[in-house]
Amino acid sequence: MSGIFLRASVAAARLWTHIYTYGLPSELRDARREEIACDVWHATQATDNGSGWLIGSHIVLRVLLGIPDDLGWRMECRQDARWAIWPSAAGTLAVVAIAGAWALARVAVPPLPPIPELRMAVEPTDPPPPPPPPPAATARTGTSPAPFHVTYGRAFYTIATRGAAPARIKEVPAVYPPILAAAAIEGVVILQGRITESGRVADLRVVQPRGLLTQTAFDAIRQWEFEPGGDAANTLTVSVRFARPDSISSNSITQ
Amino acid sequence: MRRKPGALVPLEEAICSAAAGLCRRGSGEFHGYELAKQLAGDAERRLLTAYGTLYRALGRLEEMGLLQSRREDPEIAARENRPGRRLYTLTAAGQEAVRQSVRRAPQTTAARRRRREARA
Repeated sequence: MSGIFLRASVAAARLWTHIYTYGLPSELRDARREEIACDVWHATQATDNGSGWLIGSHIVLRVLLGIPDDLGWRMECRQDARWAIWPSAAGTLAVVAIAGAWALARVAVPPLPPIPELRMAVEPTDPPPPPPPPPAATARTGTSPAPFHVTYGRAFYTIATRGAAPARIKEVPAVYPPILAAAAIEGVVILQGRITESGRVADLRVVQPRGLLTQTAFDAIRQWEFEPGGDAANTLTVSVRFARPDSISSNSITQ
Repeated sequence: MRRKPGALVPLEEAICSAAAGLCRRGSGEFHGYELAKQLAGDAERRLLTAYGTLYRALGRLEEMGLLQSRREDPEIAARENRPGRRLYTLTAAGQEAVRQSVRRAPQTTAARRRRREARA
């Protein structure tokens, strides 16, 4: 074991000498390397120097204690290059980094937990619990909640024709938006269009608008259909009246 | 360490003294490891001078003309199956520096003794 340490110490001294003499003129570099190699060789050959451990420790200590002078000597040799010390420093850092990486690689990394196998089959599961019963009537009113009402506008239409007026076969009511009803926005929208030969409504235009109620009336009336085969010049005029249920109860439909 | 012009730092003085000691023992030429052993023996310590410190100081002393060096014959190193040595020699200027160092040493020692006695 002491022999291994001694050889490692000699190798460290040789490595450091190669690093700090790197890039110097060949005569200076070779002379210094040979001188250190000779000194180290004599140290290992002397019989009165003690065991391999002792000799190796002395070599390492002599290297470490001489590092400042080694770097200073290098700078003296390379005074033309002010930062000539950096190649040695970079080499030292590289050696340290490699040694650190090697030491990190030796650290045992705990294995990751196994990844659970993905299961594609769908297993039957228990049926979901029934939804909770609806809440009881509030104590504030004391009565059951009022049913939800959808209210429509009441439409009146006339057809101007030179012959028999076609019968209406599809009526789409105009929805009275609840928010407008709640805001007490009422009124009459008048639309006018043409009944085509196929019975559809075309060229629909607004004759009398009524704010936001105009669009809902327009969307409903353009979906109306009449019996096909009539005169293409038949003119349809529709008046849609929007009123709240409490004012006119006959035009509401309860769902 | 900031040095005065022409003055030697303690390590350089010690190296010159150790080199002079090796010369007195008959080793006119010596290599770095021999010198490091001699330095440690003079200072009565076991750990040798650091590589960088020792060889940088040897280079300075050579530039100052106190030491000379030459590369050993490669055939000798190859025959003995070892790395080649750089052999150092103490020059006349180096020997003079050692003599001056020895002359200064008693004065320095006396001054230290006086300071120690003054503190006591």
